Amino acid sequence: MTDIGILRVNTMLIKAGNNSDRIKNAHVLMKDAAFPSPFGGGLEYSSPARGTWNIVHTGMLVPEAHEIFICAASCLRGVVLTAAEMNALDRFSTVEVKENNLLDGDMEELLIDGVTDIIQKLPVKPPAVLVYTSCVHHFTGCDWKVMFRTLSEKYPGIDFIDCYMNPTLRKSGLTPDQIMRKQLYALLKEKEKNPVSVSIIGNDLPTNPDSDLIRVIKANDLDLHEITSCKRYDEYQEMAESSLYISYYPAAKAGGDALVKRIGGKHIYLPYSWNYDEIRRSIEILKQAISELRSNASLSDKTGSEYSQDLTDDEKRILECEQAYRETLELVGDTPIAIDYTFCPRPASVAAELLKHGFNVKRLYLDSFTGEERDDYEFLKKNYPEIDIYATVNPGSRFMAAENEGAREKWLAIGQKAAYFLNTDYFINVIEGGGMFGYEAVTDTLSLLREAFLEKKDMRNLVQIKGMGCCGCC
Amino acid sequence: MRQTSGFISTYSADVFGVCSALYELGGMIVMHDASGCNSTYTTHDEPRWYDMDSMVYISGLTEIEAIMGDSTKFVGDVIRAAKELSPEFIAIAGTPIPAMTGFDIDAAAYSIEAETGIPVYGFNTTGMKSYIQGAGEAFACLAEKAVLRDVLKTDNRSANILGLTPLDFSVNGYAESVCGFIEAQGYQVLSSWAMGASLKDIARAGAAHENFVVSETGLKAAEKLKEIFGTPYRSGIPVNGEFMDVGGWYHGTMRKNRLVKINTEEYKGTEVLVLGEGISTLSLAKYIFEKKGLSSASFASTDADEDEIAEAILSVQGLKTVIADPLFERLLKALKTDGQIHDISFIPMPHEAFSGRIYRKNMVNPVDGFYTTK
Amino acid sequence: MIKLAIYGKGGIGKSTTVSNVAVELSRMGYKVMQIGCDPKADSTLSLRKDDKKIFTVLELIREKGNDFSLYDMVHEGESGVLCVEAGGPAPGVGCAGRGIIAALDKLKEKGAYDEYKPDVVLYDVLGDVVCGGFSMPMRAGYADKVYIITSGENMAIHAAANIAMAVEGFKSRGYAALGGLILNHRDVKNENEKVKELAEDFHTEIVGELTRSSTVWDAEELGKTVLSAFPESEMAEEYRRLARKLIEI
Repeated sequence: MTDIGILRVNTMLIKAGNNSDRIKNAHVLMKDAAFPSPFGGGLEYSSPARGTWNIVHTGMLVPEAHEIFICAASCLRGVVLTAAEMNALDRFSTVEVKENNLLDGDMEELLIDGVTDIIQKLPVKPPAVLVYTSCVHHFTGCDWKVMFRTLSEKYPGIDFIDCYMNPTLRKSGLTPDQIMRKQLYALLKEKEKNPVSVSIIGNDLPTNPDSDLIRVIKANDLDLHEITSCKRYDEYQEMAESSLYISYYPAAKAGGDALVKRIGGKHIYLPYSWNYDEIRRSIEILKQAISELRSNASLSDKTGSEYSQDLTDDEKRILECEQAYRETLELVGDTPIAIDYTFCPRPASVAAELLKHGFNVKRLYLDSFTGEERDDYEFLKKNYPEIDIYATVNPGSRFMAAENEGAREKWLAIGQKAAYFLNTDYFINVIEGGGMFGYEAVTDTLSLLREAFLEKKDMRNLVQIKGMGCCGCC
Repeated sequence: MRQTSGFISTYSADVFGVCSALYELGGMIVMHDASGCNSTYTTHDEPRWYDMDSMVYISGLTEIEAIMGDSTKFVGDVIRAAKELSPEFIAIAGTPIPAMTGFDIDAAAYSIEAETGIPVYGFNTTGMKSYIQGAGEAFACLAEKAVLRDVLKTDNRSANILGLTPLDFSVNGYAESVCGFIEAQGYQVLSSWAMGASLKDIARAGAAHENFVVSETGLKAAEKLKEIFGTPYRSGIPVNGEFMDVGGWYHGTMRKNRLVKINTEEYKGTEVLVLGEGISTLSLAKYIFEKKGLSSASFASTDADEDEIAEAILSVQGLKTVIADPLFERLLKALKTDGQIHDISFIPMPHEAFSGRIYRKNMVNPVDGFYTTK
Repeated sequence: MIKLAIYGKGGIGKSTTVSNVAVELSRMGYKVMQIGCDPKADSTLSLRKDDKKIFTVLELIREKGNDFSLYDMVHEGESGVLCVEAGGPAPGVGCAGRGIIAALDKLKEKGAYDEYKPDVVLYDVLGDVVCGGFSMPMRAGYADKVYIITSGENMAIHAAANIAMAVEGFKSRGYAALGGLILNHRDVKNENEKVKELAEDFHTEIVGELTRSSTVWDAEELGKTVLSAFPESEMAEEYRRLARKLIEI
């Protein structure tokens, strides 16, 4: 270490405002924002808003499955306490990687022996085990085929699936989120297809039964499955019978494609959006797919019938949306609104539609735009160039909450991070789209916006709960 | 099998110990890691994260950077952030992948300091050791680098308190109580390392007559201050108004045994076992024995795995009560189910370095609130 | 598709041998891909056409992320041999083993084998197999056979034995089998006997022998393979024999 002599006098930071210098590189006006990344890379900050799910939460969606993580202590810390906070420690175990394992090159043995040891200790053998390896496994050249073949031979009655906590490789292919949503369904075993079975895949939260998606499916007498409603492993396995798989969460798309390639069926991806044309197109695609399904099953086509037509009457639904916009605008007026990327996968789409309807959307909290948001980005840039884009991970982001803007002016935040950074208790506490889809996403969100305007929430405590909707106890 | 854990959590790691130790001192701390370390630390191991701004970041290491051994991005990013944010110092700490690829933290520190003129400390943490080591290194670094050398001892009796982090003391007033206790013994507390103290306070530490080490994280710094300033130190925590000196069970920074029985009346066995951080468990066990007349033992579990902890529990003859973080209760239940133990009661004593924030509302302040077993 | 991995002590003549074999196989009508698995990225030096610099796979990943094509990684060299260099970190930094894995994964991901459909793939692997990543070329899905180049020098024999032991240890995994040894003469004492003994110890054979010849150095000076620089030479004929032997096994 260098000899640095006497240190300068400290200025304790605590929560003190007047950080505009530190924040200035953490936000940029829409007109100056590059696509897809308005901000360069660099060091990253992590805000206390924790509601989005992680791979522990998502993995637990497989009913009765047991999770085993094999990694260094620093990596284990977060996942084991995630499991503890969601009261799922009875479905969670760990194998700690130590330095000698890296040096001795026995990482494969550690995994095999560690998983074996844990399974032997468990009072009840699980039907499935999700084995999560970490970055160090990739850097020590472990052979996954050998490891998992050995485990399967040792325990033929248990289904093993390789899962990954390897953020070092997050830019080397599919993202960790995409991989998790793919592996979640990799346990499904090929079986005979049920021509009227449909599964919605890739969400952490159950799809809202009032969503257009589910209403169309139900109206066509189809048998709907979703992992969030499976209570037993065999129920989860029934999803393999589906002839149609539907995803609408962007990170689920790759998984859906991989699934049908492996076990058959058709996968359609319907992008989440607030744009009427996009919604209409999605519902059309859905109806078309259902029509094919019913035709293959030699059932009459109900999608064009009066019954389902009534339910998915686009014009009627659009009128409902417009009414909701009007009602909400009347209430919130020109209250400034901020939207973040944790609320839903298309914050720019939400912003664009709210702005078109006269709402005072002033900020977006996001670090990059997704490919799906290109059109929304162009629209905002052209028509609302003064919208401020705030980074959530930029080093300067650390100091945003201390500005305490929510105390000086009433802000409405759509999303936890926006609420935290603005320090406002008037917010919509929803993550990952909340299971909403289609026109219903618009009307329900606007209802939540009205509620948020009228009632404060305990933002400080709510946003810090990890994995919202996953039985967090904190 | 060693290293597996069917039932219990894991202790906070060395890299997080560094962050926790240096948190309040106005510096910028960078964990050289892909992602995950920052949210893990700030969610579970840093109760000050919401209310007290501190510049703790992650570098966002990618696979190709790790493969190619490319440190230029890391160094460049830290320099850029430092120029924007003007920290008092910079600390950079390693994690498993940089450790594996032999990333030269000290060289990176040198480059950053050369460019910015800001003092930079490099910590060769690996993410595979406990927080005791990381925080210990951080405090030792302060002792070496941040304490003014040419100082006179104070006229009045003064002391520093070493080893204060929320990992061991939470944020429930326990740390303040410890300081209050030392003051009530007639000492002027010059600095408390490092909760409620500034770098300026720490710079004065050489002037103290005595140091109090209240967690194993403070031992290295105590030894360093003794070496540089000749300052003696005592190890222990105050329990229900009395200081429990446990230094006799340590050789410098090394605890003589992980499992320490306070009494040696073998025929009675050992009725109470306290699991957790070394100095606090010894202090509590000593209090139980001296003040409550119960044979007791302490097991320093911060670098032990589940099997070792189970072995320790099973090795104690006559055990009636275990005092430990609530997340250890599952292990006891498992041992009971297996028939390996019978009729052992459990008294929860939450420890942030183990269960994080889960039981924060139930944190005990032993200075005046340690519940007794009988 | 015939897939062979060539290992051996550093400096034993792997790249020279592999490049010459590649040229001969290509001239015989096979489509050949030679993949250098070494951070030094010098396996295909003698095969490259006028512009000697090619981008390694890892350089491309570093500079462009995933935004590059298969054709940026694969270059046609002498006699139509398709050349790829995995690349890796500079000496003393990084993780070369992981680099090999990442490079081979990227080649696969970009569809190298599906697009080019080589008849023969030769993996030329660096001398010291010091961590998991360097065993990648011999894993299931990559080479089917491993050949080890050795001389009678003790260091070369030790290295060859080490690698042979590793191959032996991986038998139950379905990795590449040991195809044999290639004796690259250094004319040391009892060379033939020592290498023969090594082959017997590992229940394998010497599949080819190469004379110690100045023709090899002369070709190297010219930056070419022997087959290109001195096609009429006895050395060239030895490489032809070796190539034919490897392809028929």
